[in-house]
Amino acid sequence: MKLVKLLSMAAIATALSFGYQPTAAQAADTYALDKPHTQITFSVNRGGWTRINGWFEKFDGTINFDEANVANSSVNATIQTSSINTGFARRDKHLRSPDFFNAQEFPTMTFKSTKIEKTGAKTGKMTGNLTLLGVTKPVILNVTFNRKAPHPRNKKTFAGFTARGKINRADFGMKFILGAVKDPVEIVIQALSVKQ
Amino acid sequence: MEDLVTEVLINGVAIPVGVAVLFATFFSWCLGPVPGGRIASAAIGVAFLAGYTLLFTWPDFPPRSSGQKLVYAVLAGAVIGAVIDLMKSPALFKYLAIILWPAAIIGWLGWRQLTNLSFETGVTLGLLFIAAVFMFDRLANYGSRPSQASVVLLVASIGASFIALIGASGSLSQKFAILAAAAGGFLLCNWPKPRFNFGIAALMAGGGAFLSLATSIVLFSEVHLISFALLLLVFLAPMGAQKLPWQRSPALGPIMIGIVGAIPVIAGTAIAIVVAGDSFELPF
Repeated sequence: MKLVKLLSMAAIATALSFGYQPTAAQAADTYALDKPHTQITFSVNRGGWTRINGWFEKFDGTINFDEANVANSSVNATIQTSSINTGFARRDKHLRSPDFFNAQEFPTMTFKSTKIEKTGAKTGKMTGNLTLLGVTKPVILNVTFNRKAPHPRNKKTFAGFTARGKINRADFGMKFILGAVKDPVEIVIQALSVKQ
Repeated sequence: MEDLVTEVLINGVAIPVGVAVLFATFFSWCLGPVPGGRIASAAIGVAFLAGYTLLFTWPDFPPRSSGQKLVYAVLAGAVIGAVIDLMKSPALFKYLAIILWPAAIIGWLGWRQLTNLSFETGVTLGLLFIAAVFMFDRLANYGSRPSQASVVLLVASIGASFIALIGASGSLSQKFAILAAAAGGFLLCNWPKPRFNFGIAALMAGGGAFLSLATSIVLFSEVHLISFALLLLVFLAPMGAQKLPWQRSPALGPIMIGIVGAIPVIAGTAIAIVVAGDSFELPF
């Protein structure tokens, strides 16, 4: 035990003596989306009667999260458009068609953050580029940092976030029956991520 | 919903018919049979673009999706075709248009598939090209009897519109309907009395629009392909109508061709409905 303490003190002394400062890249931890516990959902106004909810089942993403300096964080995500699910197979087939996501011609949509600002103790505003149907447009997501803690069983560190935003599908060229399936589309992302 | 239907009927049907009639009539009236009459068949492409723009808006350049590329393919087809029609001996260009133009359209719209080619996609693109050359060849051969070519394009586009709708592609269905209206407008100019040739402009723009939409159907939609392929038989309708009465009548001949052409349309639509089963009705 004494040996461990001694080594720790030596390491700290060595770091201090070299004037060690964590660089921006080193300070951010890389997290991968934990797919079973992440939900990328949307809802859209259908003719003023109801809102239809849906989600994407296949996606991938990484979060470089710097808790001390949130502006240093970044997010990348790729979503398989053919994995759309609104709980109604007939509608999902139509949503995959060229009328909407054109999933065979554009199999993925991507999001890449460009700027993250802290707006509160646990909130931030994330600006990023969303590429959908070959069109790239900036979108803003309001993000809440929910919790970072080790998992009680596997001891891996998990970080949870909730992101909310709105996009106009027409901006991306998805204009079929806009009068009936109206803009904006509301997006809610519940993202659980595991430290790599 | 009524507004939507009205919008589609006016912008997607009535206006393309009107634009086709006005374009062909105006140019032949202003410029005479030469050159006005020669470029009149560009009316199909112009009318299609008018209807498309009203329903879907003019797409950005460079186009990103096959749906956007379609517009520029039709525009290029109308312009290049009109230039060829103005030349004195476009016979060589006709054969080039029958082979090269379909290859160019399929290559452009299916570029992603070509650059990432699997065996299955290669076979699909090959079959699509063969079907396209057949379709262009038939339209070019009926060109001197403009009402025949126009009826064939009209009936095939109506059939494609039905089958696309059943296959859950409403926007493709609308685009085929616009093309049907444009062909119908040009038919009105040539019925019962033939006035303008179904020239290279009509072949490259009208046939090009049909092929572009068909390429989108084959490569990017879940439309039932066998029912869609049956529409190729529509392009044989003038031959099938040869033994029918009044086939040579300028007024009734096109109607006979339309009736024969309707047979594969009905068969294809029926198969598409049976295959679609519960998903026949659009969910939105």
